[in-house]
Amino acid sequence: MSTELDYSFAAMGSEIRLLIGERLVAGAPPPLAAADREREFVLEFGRRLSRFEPASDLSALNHDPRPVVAAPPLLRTAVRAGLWAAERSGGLVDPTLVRALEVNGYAHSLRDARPASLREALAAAPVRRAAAPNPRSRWEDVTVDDARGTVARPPGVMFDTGGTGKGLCADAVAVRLAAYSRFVVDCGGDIVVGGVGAQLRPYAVAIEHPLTGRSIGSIPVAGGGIATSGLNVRIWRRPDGGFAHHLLDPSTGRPAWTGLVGATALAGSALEAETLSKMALLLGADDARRILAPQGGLIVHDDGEVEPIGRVAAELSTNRPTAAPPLVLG
Amino acid sequence: MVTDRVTVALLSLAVFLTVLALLGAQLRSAAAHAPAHRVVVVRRIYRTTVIETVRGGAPGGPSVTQSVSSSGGAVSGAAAPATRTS
Repeated sequence: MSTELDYSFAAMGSEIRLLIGERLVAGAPPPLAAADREREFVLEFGRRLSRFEPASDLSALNHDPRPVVAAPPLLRTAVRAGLWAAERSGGLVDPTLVRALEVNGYAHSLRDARPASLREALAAAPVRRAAAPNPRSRWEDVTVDDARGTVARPPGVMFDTGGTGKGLCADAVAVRLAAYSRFVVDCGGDIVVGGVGAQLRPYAVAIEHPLTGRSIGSIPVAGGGIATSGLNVRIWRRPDGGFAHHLLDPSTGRPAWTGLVGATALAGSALEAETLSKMALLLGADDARRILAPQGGLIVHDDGEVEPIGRVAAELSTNRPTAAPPLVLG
Repeated sequence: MVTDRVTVALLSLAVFLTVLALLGAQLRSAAAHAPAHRVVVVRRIYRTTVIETVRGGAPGGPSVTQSVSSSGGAVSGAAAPATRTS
């Protein structure tokens, strides 16, 4: 007899889903109680790290005129995650592009907004080219001091945890679910799979096509992170009639049109997978293949063509996604 | 008197053993004429998955589903998780 809890709710402008197996440790709460606990954690995570909430810790940091600001542990961790992603990507996943996002029209939450047509946006988009880091970006001037409990940055430099927040949140929840036989933490598509049960019988994780919304196929994931970046959800029309989306080229401060509309990455954590998928999408197909090859991934070209890379090329099942066949022992 | 009782008991036992011997002989005879049967053991493993919605539907509240599988393996009742643009 085995049981699994399937628990979903809305938070951080996305749907959050938890799949939790049986508890391995007697002292651990039942899965439903654990899910309720994690829901509270995720809701608080979103409230405190949203740049759209005036009362959030992140807004307090962004609007504080002092160069050094007291910051609680969760905010410091989120800032560290953003800096980690920037370093990992050589500055391509830049957490200090808040003003550029606002200039392009992303000054408020798009949670309830209907996305513009990606196909129309692609037809109107400029010549495709790879994005590049901004050598004058200030993210390297941001520092975190855990001993003093502060974050230092040049006044006026605003920080956005939106690019890495969901991955970080998924990783944090996964750590808290270590006492269960198997689990999936899905923070708006940034997914962590864990538990010894998942190693014995991997989850089949489906990958959604950014143009059609249908499943491309599924791959077995026994542990670690998987994330997708794409242009299809946070895309809007500007007042001048042009299109914009939230993945900016740091070198120009404008939306990146690289020839890719989606990228999926596998990695050791959701934070790393999120970072790799963004890098792949921002750099275009040639570099995406290089970046995704070691741990596996998938890119979707402007014309909708799907290109699996690395282990995904070998393991992608294009059948209707179902659970993997049972493992037979003995 | 005692001799009569013993005689009756011995006679009863003799009748019983005779009937038993006749039945045994009949059974052997039937078995000898019956065709040889192959014995096939069919094992059926039933798997039961129960998907029970515990609660949900309140605005902003969680949607909760509990899946139970009797197979001992992982539960396959839930939809596969999907990675997507967030």
